[in-house]
Amino acid sequence: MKSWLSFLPLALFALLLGGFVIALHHSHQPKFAQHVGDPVPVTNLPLIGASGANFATSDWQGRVYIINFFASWCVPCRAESEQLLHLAELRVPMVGVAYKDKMEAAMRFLSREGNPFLAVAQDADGRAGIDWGITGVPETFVIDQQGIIRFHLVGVLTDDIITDELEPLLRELK
Amino acid sequence: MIVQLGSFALVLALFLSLAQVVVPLIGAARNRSRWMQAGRWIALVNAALVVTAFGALMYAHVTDDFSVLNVVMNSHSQKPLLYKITGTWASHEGSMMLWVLILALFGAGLATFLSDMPLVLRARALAVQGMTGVGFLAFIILTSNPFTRVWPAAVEGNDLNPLLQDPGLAFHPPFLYIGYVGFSSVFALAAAVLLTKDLPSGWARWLRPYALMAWSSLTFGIAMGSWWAYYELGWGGWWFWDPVENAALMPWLAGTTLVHSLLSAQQRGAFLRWTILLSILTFSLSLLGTFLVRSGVLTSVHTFAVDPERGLFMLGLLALAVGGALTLYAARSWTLPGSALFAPVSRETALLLNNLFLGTACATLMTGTLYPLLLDALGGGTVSVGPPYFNAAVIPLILPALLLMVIGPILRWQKDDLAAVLGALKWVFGLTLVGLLFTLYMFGLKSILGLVAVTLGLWLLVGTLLSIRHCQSSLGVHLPRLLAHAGLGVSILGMAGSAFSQEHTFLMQPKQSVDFSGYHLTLDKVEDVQGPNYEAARGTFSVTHRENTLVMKPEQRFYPVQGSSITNVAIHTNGFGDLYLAMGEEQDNGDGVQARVVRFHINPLVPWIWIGGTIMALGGLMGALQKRRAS
Amino acid sequence: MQLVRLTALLLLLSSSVFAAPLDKPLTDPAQEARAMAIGGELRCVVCQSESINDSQADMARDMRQLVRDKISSGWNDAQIIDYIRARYGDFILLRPPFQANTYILWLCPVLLLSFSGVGVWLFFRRKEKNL
Repeated sequence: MKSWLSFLPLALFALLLGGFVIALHHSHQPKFAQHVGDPVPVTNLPLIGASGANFATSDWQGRVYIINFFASWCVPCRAESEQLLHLAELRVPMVGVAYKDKMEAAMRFLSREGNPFLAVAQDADGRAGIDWGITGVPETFVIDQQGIIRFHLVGVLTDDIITDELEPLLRELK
Repeated sequence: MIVQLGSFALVLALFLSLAQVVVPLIGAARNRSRWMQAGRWIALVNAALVVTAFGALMYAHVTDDFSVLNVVMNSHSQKPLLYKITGTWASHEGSMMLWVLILALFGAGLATFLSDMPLVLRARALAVQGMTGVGFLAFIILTSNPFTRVWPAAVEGNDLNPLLQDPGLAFHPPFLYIGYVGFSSVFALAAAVLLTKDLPSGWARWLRPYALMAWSSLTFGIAMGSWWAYYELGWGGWWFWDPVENAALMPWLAGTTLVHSLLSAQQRGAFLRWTILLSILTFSLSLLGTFLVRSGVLTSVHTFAVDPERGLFMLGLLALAVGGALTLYAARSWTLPGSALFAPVSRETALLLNNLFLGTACATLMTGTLYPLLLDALGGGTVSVGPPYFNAAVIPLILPALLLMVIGPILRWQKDDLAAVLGALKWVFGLTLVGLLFTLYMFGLKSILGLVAVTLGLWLLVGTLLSIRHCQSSLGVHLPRLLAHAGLGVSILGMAGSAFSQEHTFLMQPKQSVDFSGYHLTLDKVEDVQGPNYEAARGTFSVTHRENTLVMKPEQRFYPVQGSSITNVAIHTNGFGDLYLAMGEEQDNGDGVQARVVRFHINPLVPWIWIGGTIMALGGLMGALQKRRAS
Repeated sequence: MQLVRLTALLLLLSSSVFAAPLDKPLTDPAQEARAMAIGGELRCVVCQSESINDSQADMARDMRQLVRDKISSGWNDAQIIDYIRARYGDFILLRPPFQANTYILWLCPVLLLSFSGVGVWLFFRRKEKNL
């Protein structure tokens, strides 16, 4: 009777160890940042460079489009400007959201880095960013005709991600 | 040259640790006392080598040797000397060096002290200590070598962050490590006990000093860390249930149950198997903590560099050390006799229940800390487990143990009469009640947890002080317990104080006055000041309370290099409480006038948390050093 | 006495506390207290394990402002927390919700106490039997 009880600590430890091995091998991508499968958050933001007009997700219902959150003060955002221009060549409409940015600074940033966007909206107080559940910039989303988020990237866009993930997805959505 | 010497000493220490494993083990197996004695000398030389290696690293830091990568990454020629010295252990590699230093020093202690310890037991303990040393020295040499060189040598170091140059931050690691790592010696002795037949009874008396020394230091280290967090992060928070804080608290809780278990093991031969298991588990929790902090599985403010290779190695060490010890326990615990009889009302039962509650608290703490990472690993989703959980789940488990701390020491061993004991405590009940009613009168029902804490803190403090009259034999024998228990009472009263803190935020202009809770605050002026690496707006406030006026000067600083704005809080402490005053940026106060946001906190009794912790640590230290007579 | 004053002076001068930046509070103290209470329940998503009340990060500041705005608009506590939870998931709650994947977590203390309680009871019964 005694002997099996004294094996209990060892058994529990073995289970714990197994859990750690899995945890170590697990991807470090934080799951909470993944919004794939969620409906697109209702958004209505002023457009930069087209005074009075707004970007509204309701207007884009039924279309496939890409949203990219960026900012002129965001250093990594510069690293993906080339990739965003490549992405624009795929002829899927792209909307940029200048997150917590001033209009002039955002436009200057785009004229310097290249502007892949069909329209640029301004999220001055960051509320739209919270609605989209972002944790920083840059973040990129793909929305399908049903208004569901089909792709969500936290961080800088790379050419590999474009070829391996975005191109197949966008082809499929068309 | 010195750095080369240090690097060489480190490698030699690894080989010597191997010898420390093999030589005494063979000596113990073949009953060759020469070999076993040799093991003691090996442990001493081993310690000398590790001291040399550590010293060489410190020398490199102090002399700004920028050919050493560790110094380049973590130091700067402009750093004050004090922080260059403490910077030796401020990185992953440096803190691992501190780890093995303490490990080797405890090994030297095992080799030297407690002359009545049988040679066989000592030899086996040294061997197990040596095994731990082999594992960690190999880890350092293979994955985290502090003596890695940079060629060509860098011109200057990279780290001159003034926010990290703080005495509390710099000094608490050594105390924490003497705690964590110190339990390795109890682990080694416990394994040796399992391996050795025909041990004289009362072997618990050899484990106790080591357990108490480690516990005492860990207590002080945790208190110091909490104190630093309070003064550094502001707003009266002194414990955040951060995973790294939890990683220190788990071995502390286990260590507390261990020292209590050792007491009944030594005095009554009771719970011998539990004592051995706890000796293994306490150090296992230290190892777990080391793994959690350094492997990258947890996200926390304190975690060191994330490196999967290191994580895997450390997991392997954890598996071998803990798995090995628990296997040994499973195989050999039957050789230990069971407990002698005792009644449901007895000191043994009080200690048993104490351990049950603290043990459950420790297990719950562990579950909460590991839950997010394990749940995510098993695909169960992503949750966070933060202070609301720990406050709700862990604290209630500790409360019954606090009650027992006053009843247990005056209970007789083996059998006692509960009614008589409770009757003996009537003064304690009475005085505690008076204190509770007074607190209710002062603060009302503002914080239920605060009221509970006041009750328990007074219960502990008064109960412990009044228990002096029940002490048979000289007071000196009881002093460790008296200090430890009373110290905890003081600490809990400090915690209660923080529950009754008052605060208010004002919008103030220069020359304006406000009143709050008996304090009269006047913002005399706001001026711009220039610091070495910051610009600041400094407010001068006069704070008057019952005819005493003091001046407090909080600042709103801007660091241009980092581009960050920091609120520099002014604190005034007088041993019975703290006043906090912070001043923010200019804001529109609603009438179109620019005013400053001013936040004022009154934190009663909070310094008692760390005063109490220090008293507890002193009690533990005294217990470690005293030669207790078994009654 | 001189030493005491000198020490006190040094303590005063050296007390550098870098606290979270001061927000402009809501004018109604009850509402401000609600804002602080809710803030203590929300995790700063860009920090390691702090609440939004304790964090210096801009995102935390934005969240605190969001909480205050919603309180001013008349939302109750549950609505505000649900709003943020819908956008950031269970991760953002410092108090894990009581649901299928956290039953073990929340029930663990009770279960452990029960098991050990039974263990202690059996221990005493066995001792009695052996008498």
